[in-house]
Amino acid sequence: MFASINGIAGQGVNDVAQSRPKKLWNKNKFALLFLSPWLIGILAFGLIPMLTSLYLSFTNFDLFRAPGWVGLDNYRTMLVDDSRYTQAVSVTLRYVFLGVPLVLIFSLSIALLLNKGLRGLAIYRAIYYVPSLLGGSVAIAILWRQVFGREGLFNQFLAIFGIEGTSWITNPDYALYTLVALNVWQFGSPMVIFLAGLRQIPKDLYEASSIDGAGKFQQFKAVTLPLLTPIIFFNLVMQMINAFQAFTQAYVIGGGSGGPLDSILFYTLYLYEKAFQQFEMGYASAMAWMLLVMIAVCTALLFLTSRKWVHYES
Amino acid sequence: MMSRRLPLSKGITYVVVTVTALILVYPLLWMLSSSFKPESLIFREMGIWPTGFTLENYKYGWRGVAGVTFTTFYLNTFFIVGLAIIGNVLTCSMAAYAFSRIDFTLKKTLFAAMLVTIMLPYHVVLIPQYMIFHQLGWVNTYLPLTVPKFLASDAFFIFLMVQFIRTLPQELDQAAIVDGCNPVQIYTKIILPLLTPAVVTTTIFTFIWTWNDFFSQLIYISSPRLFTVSLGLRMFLDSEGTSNWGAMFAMSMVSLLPVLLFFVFFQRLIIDGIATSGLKG
Amino acid sequence: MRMKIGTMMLLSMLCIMILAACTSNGGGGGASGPQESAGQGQGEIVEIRFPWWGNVARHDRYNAMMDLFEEKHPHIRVIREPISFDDYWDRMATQTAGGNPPDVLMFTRGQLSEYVSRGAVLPLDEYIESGIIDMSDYSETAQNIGLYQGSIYMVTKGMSAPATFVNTDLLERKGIRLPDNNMTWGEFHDYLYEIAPLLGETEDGKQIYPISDPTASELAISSYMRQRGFELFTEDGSALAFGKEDLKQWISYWDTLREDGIVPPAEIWAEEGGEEWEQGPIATNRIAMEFGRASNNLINLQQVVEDNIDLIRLPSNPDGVEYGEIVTGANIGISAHSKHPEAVAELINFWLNDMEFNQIYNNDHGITGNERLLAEWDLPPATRKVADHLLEVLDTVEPQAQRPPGQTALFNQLSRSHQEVYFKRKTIDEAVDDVFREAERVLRQ
Repeated sequence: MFASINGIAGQGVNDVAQSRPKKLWNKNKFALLFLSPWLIGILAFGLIPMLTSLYLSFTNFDLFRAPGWVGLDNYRTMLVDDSRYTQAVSVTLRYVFLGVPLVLIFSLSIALLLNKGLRGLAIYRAIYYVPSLLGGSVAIAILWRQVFGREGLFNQFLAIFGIEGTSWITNPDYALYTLVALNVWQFGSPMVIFLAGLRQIPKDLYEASSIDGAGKFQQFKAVTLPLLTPIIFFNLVMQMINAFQAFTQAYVIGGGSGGPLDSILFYTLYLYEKAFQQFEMGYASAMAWMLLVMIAVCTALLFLTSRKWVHYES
Repeated sequence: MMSRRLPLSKGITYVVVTVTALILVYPLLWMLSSSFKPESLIFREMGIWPTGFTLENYKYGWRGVAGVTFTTFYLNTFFIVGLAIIGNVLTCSMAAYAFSRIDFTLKKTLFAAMLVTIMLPYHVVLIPQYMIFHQLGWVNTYLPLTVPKFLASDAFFIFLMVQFIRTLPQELDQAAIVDGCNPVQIYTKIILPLLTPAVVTTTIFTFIWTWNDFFSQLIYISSPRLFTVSLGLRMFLDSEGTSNWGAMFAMSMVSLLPVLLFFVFFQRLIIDGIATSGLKG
Repeated sequence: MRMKIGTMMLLSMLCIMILAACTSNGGGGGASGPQESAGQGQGEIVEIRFPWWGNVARHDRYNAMMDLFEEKHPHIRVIREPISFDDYWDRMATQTAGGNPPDVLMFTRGQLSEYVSRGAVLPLDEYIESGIIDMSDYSETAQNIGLYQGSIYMVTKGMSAPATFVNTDLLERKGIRLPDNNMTWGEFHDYLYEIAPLLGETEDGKQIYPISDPTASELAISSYMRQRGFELFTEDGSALAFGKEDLKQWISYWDTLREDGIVPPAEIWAEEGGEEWEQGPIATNRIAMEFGRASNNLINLQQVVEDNIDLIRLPSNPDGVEYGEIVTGANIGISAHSKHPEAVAELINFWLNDMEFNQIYNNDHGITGNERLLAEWDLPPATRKVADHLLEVLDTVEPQAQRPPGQTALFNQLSRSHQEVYFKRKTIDEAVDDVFREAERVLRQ
């Protein structure tokens, strides 16, 4: 992971170092200046809580009494002896690998459409963003039931084609997909980021390439896509991390439990249950660090592969 | 902008965009119409057109909780959100600049550390953080919600800005260095202005997420007079007794309004593409 | 330069806002017990923090109650922290673990042992014995609601007991005879099968079923087991007190009823069974009766349901312990870390005994255990039904055991196993095994 990060973070600066004039300034001093808020924040409010939670993962902390050391017991139980844990991992992985690509494809497509500068699209942009504004509001639970319940809007829609639907949201086989749909419905954030990225591409590049005779699709491939890759990468990584940690929507829709037959028992939902309802904070901390490792591994993989396809201006 | 475009493809674009918009927005239209229905009708009728019309939900909802109205909730929330935006924009862009344009010792490690802070679920650091804030005497104030923003705690935005800065060519920096600028000047005169889309994005997202974030507000704020809109909304529901759905929908609608307006206003800054033409100069 | 001015403006706004944040709202207004001398000239005012859960109506009511209390006790100020039910526990756990617990604690039945076993609750015995908390108008059963491991840790603000809710208007509309108040299990069973074919459909054409499915209901299963002579847990709380065969019979009974169409089938129950209040199955006329629901719910339910609902006892067991209902409700206690326990004790005492206070409170969480008040009070009809039912229960059941720590996890497992049975993912034997395995895991601590 470090090697590939070096590729991203260190790339352009070497060129500067070679061509700069003899003026020497202490890079570390400037770095410290710009990083100081972040460093203070990390040290004051980040490092200690994180290290504490790491410590707690090796204990049986129950929120009220002093923690007692149990070594690797929590981790062992998690991986070997806890069927609900396995369920939580399965649910979350399915959510990530199904939801993230869908969100990205959808948000990019819409962003491209909205980027055309056609009249009236400003209103559409706002409309597309509105679902995201609801966030994890409690209203979502009701709303989503109205959409995916047995007499909900979705089934009314299906009825037009003569398909009779079941109650998707309380059905253990389908409940997860309603949550994927919810995530896609709230695609406003990555869409806005894509729009910002698209807007950052200089127009003269398009003009130059169309003078060269490139058609729209070729322009997309040659100009848009390469220059958008840093943004695509960003959205990919962040959507993945967020999907792994999805909590609020599942909490609100499942009513705090894992849904029908634990079908929407997301990882962090299970973690929350362990920590705050069953008072097993030690176990929950172990789960948290396990999740961190999983996310870190996936993120590292993404960074590694990014060298192949992400294009930075330098 | 583009050269000739067939009217057909334009029409298709409009159709696709409109149909998608309608599908996306339908649940919200339902909620909007429910907010105008008398409480007893809300779940009896599934349709969008309300048969009974009332403003009662809005009036009742606005009264708020324990004598504190939504006016106070709104003012409180605006206050917190305003601070959060300023904090995030300033400090995250600073950190992002360091990570992307300055070479320093331990850069790789720190960058990795920054990303790792996003990966740990919030619930397990909650209690140690609470203890720290409690020791500082900050519980039941807005400090735990705002001060971290001035310490670049939202690594999401640091990473976002890093990626955006990475799209800016290094030649700009080099030209400035030749002119005798130090990194601080490069930051303020060159990078920051060009980062406008990212800054605007950060602003919008910080606004919306802080506005909607109920969990940390719930943990650190206990007095109703300090409540935010999200906390106020949760007051309408109760699993032990009847819930005031109508009031909740009404207040949710009202709560959407500032966020939506904020978004509409600021997104123009992204879309109208400020300063992208200056790059080749 | 444009940027410089902009930056300076931002920075100055920043400073102003930080200043404002620190001064106006700061000062740790929520921490426990700063001493103020308000201009009342009565010496020091003691502050106690009281978080409670509820909806807007309840917040208003509690506010009025606290105002009354402060009026009668001017040296005590109650810092009010209303919140919704789910959020209450998150915040409570965080604050307690984080070293900042409130002074006044509220519990329902499940949480007491969890908090007591972790040293968070103050025993109340001395306050009761010395009369600071006066429980002379309370029956012994009512007094012992908060008894755990030899000490009393909480007292009841309102009691209720599981009952079967009967929609009498619906039955009359369909021309069906009403059930008796004191049926045996056999009579109950026959009654259900008798009315099933007569119920027909609701106005929207949906099938009406005789009764709900209470398999996973804590109240229902407790009553059932007690009728067979078992508490749910052994006395030391380390294991389940009943056997696998008993649980199997309980689950099978309702499963058979489902097969026979007495209880709604899986799909319908999954969607509608979890809904509450005006969306719940009894309000929508989907079921004619609801088994084992806490009786005080009637008061709120009747406000949103037009049909008249009556309460009847759970079926009696002529071959064992006749009645097994447990008494539940809401309770109040003092935090072990409170700096002003005497002030909280005064609040509790007021709560338990003052008529005006209780009239504002209006039996919100259940019927008051204060028999003197009940005798003097002219209760509204729904409340009267609940009170009568409760008194009958109190007269006919044995004292009950407290729930041990870990029981939340166990009931969650019961609920999941129930789902697995009615979705036909597991057999009843497997489900029973799962429950016992989970019990072993959580209770052996």
